Order: sequence, then structure tokens, then C-alpha cells
Amino acid sequence: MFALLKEEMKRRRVEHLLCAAAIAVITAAVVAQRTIATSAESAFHDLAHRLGANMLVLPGRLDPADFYRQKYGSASLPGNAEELLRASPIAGDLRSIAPRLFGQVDTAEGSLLVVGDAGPWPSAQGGLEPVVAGAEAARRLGLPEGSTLQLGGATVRVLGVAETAPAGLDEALFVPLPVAQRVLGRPGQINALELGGCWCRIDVATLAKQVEQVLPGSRAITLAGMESAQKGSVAAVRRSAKVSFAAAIGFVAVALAALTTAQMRRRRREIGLLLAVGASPGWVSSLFTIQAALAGAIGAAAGWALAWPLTGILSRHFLALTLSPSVGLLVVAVAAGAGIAALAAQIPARLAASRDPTEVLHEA
Amino acid sequence: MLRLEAISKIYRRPGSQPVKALEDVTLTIAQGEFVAIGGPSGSGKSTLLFTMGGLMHPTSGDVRLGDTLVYDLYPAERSELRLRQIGFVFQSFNLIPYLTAIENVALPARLAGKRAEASIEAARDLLGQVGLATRLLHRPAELSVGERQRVAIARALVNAPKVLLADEPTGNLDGGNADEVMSILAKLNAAGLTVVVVTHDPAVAERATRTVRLVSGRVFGESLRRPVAQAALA
Repeated sequence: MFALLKEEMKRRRVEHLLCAAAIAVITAAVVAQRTIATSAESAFHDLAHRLGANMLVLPGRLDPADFYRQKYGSASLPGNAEELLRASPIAGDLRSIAPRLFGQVDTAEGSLLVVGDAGPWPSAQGGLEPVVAGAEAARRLGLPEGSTLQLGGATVRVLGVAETAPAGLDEALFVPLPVAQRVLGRPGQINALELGGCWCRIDVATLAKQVEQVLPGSRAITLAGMESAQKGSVAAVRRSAKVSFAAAIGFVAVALAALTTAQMRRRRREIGLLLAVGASPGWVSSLFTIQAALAGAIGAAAGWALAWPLTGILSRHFLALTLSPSVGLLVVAVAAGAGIAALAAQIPARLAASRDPTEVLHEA
Repeated sequence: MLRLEAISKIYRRPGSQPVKALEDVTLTIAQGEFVAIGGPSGSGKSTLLFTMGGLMHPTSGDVRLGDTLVYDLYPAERSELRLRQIGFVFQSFNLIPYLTAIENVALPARLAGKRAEASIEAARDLLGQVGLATRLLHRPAELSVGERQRVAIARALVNAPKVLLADEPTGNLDGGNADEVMSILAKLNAAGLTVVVVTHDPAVAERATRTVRLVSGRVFGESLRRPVAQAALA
């Protein structure tokens, strides 16, 4: 059987390659979508976990999704937001108020995420401004602890490298808020507030609304709010993933069924001969089924490989992350490709095996 | 050894009149016989051969190979029977074009579960016996028509069948090649193999020990010819 399979695939390699390539493209799209969707969900859960009992306040014009994708824009909160909150009736419910300014700054090494934090900050050696580098930023910029860096025309000193950076921002440089405001050219501005406290006495949603009233034009995001806001988009992603997965299955099934049918028609004399010399109908059916399954598996494996660059490009664009498909997805893709192909080939394969061999064997 | 009892075969195709291909054919072929089935075109010769070989279910009647009622078997069992007990040779050779001569011959042995080395060895031996020892690795397109038919004969023999059924085995061959093929069949018969040949060529039928003539799906007559040994020496 192996010799027949090998020879047929070799002889019709263009046909098989085209079919496998089509399956590969579809598989790549599904694998990339699945990887990104899974990662987005996981990132959301991470963010929600980090947010915990805290509340994140953003400018109303800044889409939280953009904030998550590190596209901060120019929207800002009132510069005196902290003072306004402390003077408000809800001040008693707030244990901590941490103003932040997020932004991107261009350096010789490329764009760099800068996070301004109100502190308090320890002073750095030599009277320089202190910074803490996220692990990835330190690796990319070559910044060991104690080193200095030119940032926005000023020299700053690295107090330490945060292996587990705050808020998971491994690529960020954490600086005192005034430094960030100067470097980003946004004096006196902030674009986020992180509020901490014990909300056990009050309703969080009510408190969020009160925060928004104290800070007009702001959006207060709680874990519950995030969940409710994200639920729709996660569900939409899941729905679209299901639709595209079903479409992919359909496409792969049709492609393989068409390939098997074409082979069955072309090889009717060979099939007749095999049946006549004693190959069982099951054996003939298996021949076509295995051939289709092989094409499906090869296409799916190629699709997984193709999904690497595709996932990288899409995840950088949509999530500001560089993702890659997991090896687990390779196993799933190959198993699914082979399984779908085998199922799709069943009808033409069984038809081939049930043919009357005498129809072709007597032809001169 | 091979007994056909009251075999009838009617072809029914939608939109056309049923065609009676065989009508009440009863025939017994003893072990070691060389039987030629003759008759004009459309007389049912090939239908009879395919029915004998378990390839075509008769509309009525029984086919018995040894003690086995061929059409009482499940399809997979009938395939097994064909694989191990019946060899087929066809007019148009029906070799697999992308396999070499030796691979074509070894194929039924592999289907029967023989190991690859043993199958190839058996195929090599048989191809040597039909005079193709130097053409083992040639593909069908690289062989003459006579050589192709000899490969097909070797393939039919690879599982040591009890009976060899040949459908117009010389139909595509010139005189010399036809003679050669018939000599091979006669020698196989002389060695004890039961051979049934469908032919419309009286010269081919001459080589058989018995001729059965079919006309319009019925046995029209039988004639006993030379003894087996004499046919083998012809």
C-alpha cells in the first residue's frame, strides 16, 4: 500500500501540493486566529487578575483596548485628579491613588515605553533621575543595574531591573512622573490613575460612577466593568473563531473530497484491477482514505508553520505582542487535518471500493 | 473443481431493456483442465468468466469452487478467495503503469500478506519463468505488448492459484506473441494448473483440451480436444 501511495503522490505531486497548500493557508489562518484569541483572553485574565480589587481610571477618550495595546494617544486626565479625589466625599473609600503617565518615546534604540509613576522614588547616585527598567527593556537596551541612559536629553540612572515588572510591562522604563511628563512633552499631565482600597463596604459599580463624576471625562474601570465590557468582545471573537473554524473544516473537507473523487475517476482501471486480483473493498477504501489523510496532515503541518509569521504580524498589529503558535496547536492541527480529510474522503473512497471492476477490466 | 449450476445473468440498466447475457449455463471444469470458452462477440463469454471468478454476481444460479459456494461469501471473503485461489489475465493487461514489472507481479503477494522480500523473490522467479528475467525493473510502458502480457501472467500466478482465468489473453497480441502466451498457458496447464481462456480466436481455442461454445448466453456445444500433455507440447 505504501508503494502505491508514494508513487501516486509522487506522480501527482503538483495536484497534491496545490491541495496541501490550500489547506495550509486555511490552517494558518485558523491557527493564527486561535493563538491570538487565546492570548487575548489570557491577557485579559492577567490584566483582570492584576487589577484585582483596584480600579483603573482612564481618560474617557482613550479606548481601554487601545490602552491595553499600548496606544495611548494624547488624551489625558485632569492634572489635579489626585487632589480632586482626595477632596471628594469618596476619599474615605480610597486607600491609595497612584497617578501615571504612559507614553512612547523614540530613542536611538527604537521606540520605548515610558511609564511615569508618582513615587515615592529613592534618589539615584550622582544626583541623577532614577529609573527602573523592565526585564525586556533592560535586555534590549543593554541596561544593567547602575548604568546610565540618555532619556529626553537628560541622563538617568538605572536603579534596578524589574524581572517581574509592574503591570506586566516588561518592555517599559518606569520613571518618576515629572521625568515622564518632561520626556513625553506633556508637562503636568497624567493619563491613568490606579485607585486602591477596600470596596467591601460599598458597591464597586456605584463607586466607579462617583469617580467619573468627580473626574469629568474619565472612565473608571473595575474588574466587574472590564468583565462586562470584555464579555461581548470575547464572545464575538469566540463566535468568529467558531465560524472560521467551521468554514475551514468545510473547505478542507471539500478540497479533499474533490481530490479523492478526481483520483477515483482517474484510477478506475487500477481500482478495478486491485479489486479483481483480490484487494478487499476495505483495502481499496483505505488506500484513498490514507492518501487524503496524508494530504490533510501535510497541509495542516505546513499551515502551522505558515501561522508563525502570520501570528507574529497579526499579534503585533492587534495586541502589541509577538505571539507564536504552540506545539500543542501543531498536534491539534495535524490530527484535525488528517481526521477531516479522512472523513471527507470516505464517500468517494467507498464509492471507489464498491465499483464493479468488470466495467473497466474488459475494456481493450 | 469449478462448477457452475444454472447460471443466468441479466443486465438491467435504467431506461433500457434488460439484456440476458447468460441463460441457464451449467458447466463443470475439472482440476487440471484447459478449457477455452468461445463464441461470437456479445455471446456472454467474458460475463461467464467474470462470474466464474467471483467478480460478477449472477442473477441466479451457483458458482462453486471446490466446496465453496462463491457467491455465498461476504465481499471481503470473496476478495480473499480471488486473492489466493484465482488468477486473472486480461486482454488489456491491466498493469499498474507506475510500478515496475517486478512490483506489479509482487503486488498480489503483498496483498496476501507476504513479506516484501518474499514477494519480490517470488515475482523475480515467476518473471524468470516467463522469460523476463532481464526486464524486472522496467515499467509497463517500457515493455512490448507481449512482454506486458507475460508480466500479467506472472502476476496471476504469484499466489499459486488453483485456477487461472484469462479473458482474451491474446486479443491485443500479434501472431508470434499470441503463440508465446498460449504456450506459457499450456505449460502451466501441463504442470497441473486449471486454465480457462475466453477467446473468439479458433486458433487459440485449438490449444485447449476442451472448448465450450457460447451463443446468446447459452452453451451451444462442447468439444473435447487433445489431451493435456499433447497440448503442452504443442
